[in-house]
Amino acid sequence: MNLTLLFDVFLIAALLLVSWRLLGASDLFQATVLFISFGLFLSLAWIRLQAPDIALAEAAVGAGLAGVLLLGTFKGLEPEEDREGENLSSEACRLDPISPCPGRAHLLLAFTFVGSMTALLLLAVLDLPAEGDGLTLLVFQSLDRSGVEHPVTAVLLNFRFYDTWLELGVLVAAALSILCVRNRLDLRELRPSKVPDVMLRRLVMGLTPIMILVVVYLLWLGDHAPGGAFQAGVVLAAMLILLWFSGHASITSLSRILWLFSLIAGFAMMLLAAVITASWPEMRPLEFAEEWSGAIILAIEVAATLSIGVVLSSLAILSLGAVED
Amino acid sequence: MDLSMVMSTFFLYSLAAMLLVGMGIYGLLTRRHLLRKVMALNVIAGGVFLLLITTAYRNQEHFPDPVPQAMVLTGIVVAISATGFALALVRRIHQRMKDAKTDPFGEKWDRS
Repeated sequence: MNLTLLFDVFLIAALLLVSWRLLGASDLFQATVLFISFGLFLSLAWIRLQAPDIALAEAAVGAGLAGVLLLGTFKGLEPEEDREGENLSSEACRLDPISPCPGRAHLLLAFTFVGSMTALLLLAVLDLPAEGDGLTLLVFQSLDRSGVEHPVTAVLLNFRFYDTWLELGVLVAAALSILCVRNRLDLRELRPSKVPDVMLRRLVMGLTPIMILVVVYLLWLGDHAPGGAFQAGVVLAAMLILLWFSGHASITSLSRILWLFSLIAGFAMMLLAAVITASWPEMRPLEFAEEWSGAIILAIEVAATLSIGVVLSSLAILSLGAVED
Repeated sequence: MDLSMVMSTFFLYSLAAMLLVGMGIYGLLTRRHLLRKVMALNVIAGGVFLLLITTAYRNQEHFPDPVPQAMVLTGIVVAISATGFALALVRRIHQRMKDAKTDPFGEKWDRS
């Protein structure tokens, strides 16, 4: 037999097993750790399915950042560090403390619903046309007019520019709504819950230039190979979180105006591009002239990297940080 | 690349994606802890992304379809910001429930 098929079967078994356990395990802390490994298995699957762009983002976001957020929230819910999280806080965390536990009818109903949903999904997948290239051909035909050489970057920042623009809007909205929920105006007084030790401080100090190098390299790479604003932004976020966690200057030392400015930089840059192209004669809105598109995309990518990095690190710092008394 | 191999890979991974979506919805409906519900939502998202990427992989000649890949890349970032917001809400709800428990008259939040 061939080894690829064997690898596929193992990977899928691991994915299903890990997600089954993470939904079923009674220990909430165990479930959180399993969730992180779920993200890592997923990014292996992305590599296998020839999507290295997504694998890069998933390993950093799905496994790294989501894990940090979940662990931080778990700690926030269980400050006295008892591992019996489920029993203690399940009551405190339910939206409706009066209603009874799910009974047999509830489970049966849920199972029927899930079964019919999965069956419908299966029918939809079987119904897909057997032949056809999707949009691959169209993308490759227009690639040399897009200003970049990597097809995924071309789709993200030229052909489907609108999606990426609105996505940055979603990021800004998420950061602002978390500020509202946590009753804060900015991040300035938030401190990590533990005092960082000297080793960590030194290590992060040494790592920072390397991480800056990686951010710039990933950003530059997006032009012609897997990489780009998303991946660079995620590494930037990791760097900002590490700096904050080890007690160095990070986004928490920015003034409110500067923080807000870097929050909306990506969205604003795209808005600017939209306004300029809309008022330009003989061009439709969001249509870039061929000779300028490379430069426009690079400028937008730099701003988007800054925004993604700042928003994602703010999410983590807001969920991990505490106000010093 | 051999076409039948691509197709069998597609069926394997799309089956896994469907099972992930199913498991995620089941977890979302039956598990009570809000943190677990957030994880279940993320499992559903993982299944949806996997389905999109296998479809992109299926339709290839030299390179997988870049449009679904770009969509998933966007989706991952949107999913993480939604997760961050949901977790902030979970903490807030937890805080209010705790306040309600220590409130001696139980009047403050008892509006059910």
